[in-house]
Amino acid sequence: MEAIIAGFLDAFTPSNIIYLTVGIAGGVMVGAIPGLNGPMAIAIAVPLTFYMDPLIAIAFLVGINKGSTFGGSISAILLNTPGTPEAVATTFDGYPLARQGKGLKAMKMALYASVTGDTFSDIVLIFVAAPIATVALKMGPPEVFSVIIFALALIAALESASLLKGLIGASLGILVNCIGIDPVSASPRMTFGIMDLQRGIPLMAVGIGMLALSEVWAQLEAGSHRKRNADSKKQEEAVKISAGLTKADQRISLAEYLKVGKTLLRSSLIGTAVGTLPGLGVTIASFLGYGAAKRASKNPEEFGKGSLEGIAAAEAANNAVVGSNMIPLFTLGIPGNVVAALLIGAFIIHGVTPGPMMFEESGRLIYGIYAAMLMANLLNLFIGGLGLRIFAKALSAPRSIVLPIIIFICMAGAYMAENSIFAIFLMLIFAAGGYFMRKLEISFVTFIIGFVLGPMLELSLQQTLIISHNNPLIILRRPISSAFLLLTAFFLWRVTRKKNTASKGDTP
Amino acid sequence: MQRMNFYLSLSLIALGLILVFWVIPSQSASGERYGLPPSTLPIACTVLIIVFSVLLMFQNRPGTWDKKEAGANPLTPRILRHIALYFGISIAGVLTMKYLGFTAGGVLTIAAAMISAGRHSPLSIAIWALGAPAALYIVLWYGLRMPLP
Repeated sequence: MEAIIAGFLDAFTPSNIIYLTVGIAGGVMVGAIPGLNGPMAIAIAVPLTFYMDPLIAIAFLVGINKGSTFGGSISAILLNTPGTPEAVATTFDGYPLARQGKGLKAMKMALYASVTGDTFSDIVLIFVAAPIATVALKMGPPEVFSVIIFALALIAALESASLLKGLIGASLGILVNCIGIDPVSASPRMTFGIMDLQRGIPLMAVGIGMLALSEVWAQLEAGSHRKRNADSKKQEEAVKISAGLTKADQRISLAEYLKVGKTLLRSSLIGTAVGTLPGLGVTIASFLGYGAAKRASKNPEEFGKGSLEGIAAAEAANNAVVGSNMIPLFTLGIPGNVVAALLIGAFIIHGVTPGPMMFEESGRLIYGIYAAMLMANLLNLFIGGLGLRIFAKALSAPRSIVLPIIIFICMAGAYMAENSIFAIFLMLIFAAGGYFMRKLEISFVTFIIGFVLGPMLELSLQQTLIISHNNPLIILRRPISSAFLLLTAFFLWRVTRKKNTASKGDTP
Repeated sequence: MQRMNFYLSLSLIALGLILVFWVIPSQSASGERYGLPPSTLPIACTVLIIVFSVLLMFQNRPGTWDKKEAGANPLTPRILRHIALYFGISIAGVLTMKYLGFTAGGVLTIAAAMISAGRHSPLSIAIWALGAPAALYIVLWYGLRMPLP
């Protein structure tokens, strides 16, 4: 109880509130600009948190995540282009409503729905994480090994268009993480005699390179391609928020909010459930939430034409993923998505190892993070409400200025992460790798998660062999580990069968 | 994409074989030790990559190529030129940063990238190429007390 009170008090400090505010405002701005996204901003921001207190650092990064998830709806509504992939479903009703002159109303509904969904899943996280961590503490190395295999298989199948490419990406990520010092013998492994590689490949070099810089290069390439194609259709112009709006068109009344209450609850539940499972992703949550709302609605014909219920459904679902995504991270130390993978890096930088032991060793920090997450939702409401018109102006930022600056920020971030020019070179190599992976449709998300989980996988395998006197069959003899391996096999079989059936259906 | 997948899988198989039979054994310690040898996990991952690549190659073998897709190539010469350009700009920026400092590297990187992105106004380029690194330097060095090159 003391840890809970102390943690909550730690969160309500002026410096924490300031950094949360900066994180949220920055996240909304980043999310609003099409082509930029939360994972990119978090990857660049992690090195900035080196000299911060752990709670402030994590709160800052969580603020960016929450802000960017909402920020994607701004360009979705005003430009019909989602600022982030999870805002695609918001365009279905957001843009039509904006075209009716009610852009501000649409954005406010998106804001209120986002905060509602986010708060719901944060509360679920707070109540569910500790009991799951207690169960997770009883898991031994064979169970941890099989859970990681299951998580990697799930993420590879769901995050990737091709199951095989997803598995290749995950295996490549684990392989690349082997570069450095072997954890048991302390001998160099695949360092090619380069001293700088003995520390291993830094996560930030991989994260910033693959998530941020490769995306910027892809955006610049797409921009130059658009200019060359003279016959391409003209990009839709942003709907402007006009000054002469009626009050009803500028705000969401309490009655309108309560009218979509059931939708908000349903979407929050869907988003929370989706966020708990590794690999499903925020985009799936928003589509599931939207689809469920349309099916349950008394007026489904209004969906797609500017329905407030449609906006509420999509935004509540996609923001409800944010909190519940932390459940596998906090309880098992397994990142369910790329943001959680980056947060692992942030935790480790600040001397905290994510996983069930976190509740024993850093209980005060955990409760501080919970309090910061709840406070972030209130700040998101406040900042979003005040600054919607300002954030809408971010849409007009010219890419030929923004993207070059981000290239430089990526280089600065990679340097700050390791205090080494060599880290920037590594970052550039991974940026090139990430760019090619995008073009070849190999999921770099599974690569990054494989990279992050590699050490845990190797350690659990080592420990399994040690306790079993070099007999790997112990994994199959223990009920929980064998159950997870069977689940993995079943799941992969189902996905393969489904894809084979789908491809046969496409063949004339 | 099928053709590209086929060639991708061939490349991955070749890379995997090189790793398994040459790179990993020569770059990992050997000898008796407690637990897993250092080369175990790298070799296991590489074998998995080879196996998945063989399956991918089989899935995309030439006989299955759809006529419409067979010609699709996500890596055109234009795309390769583009990546080479921005990689080159970034390398030049890093080297400038190493030998002339943070701000100089930033000015070069941003100016070169803006020109490549189609920005032609010298005033606009000068303002942003000088202003952004200077602002970042002030925030990082004086504000966050972060070491910079």
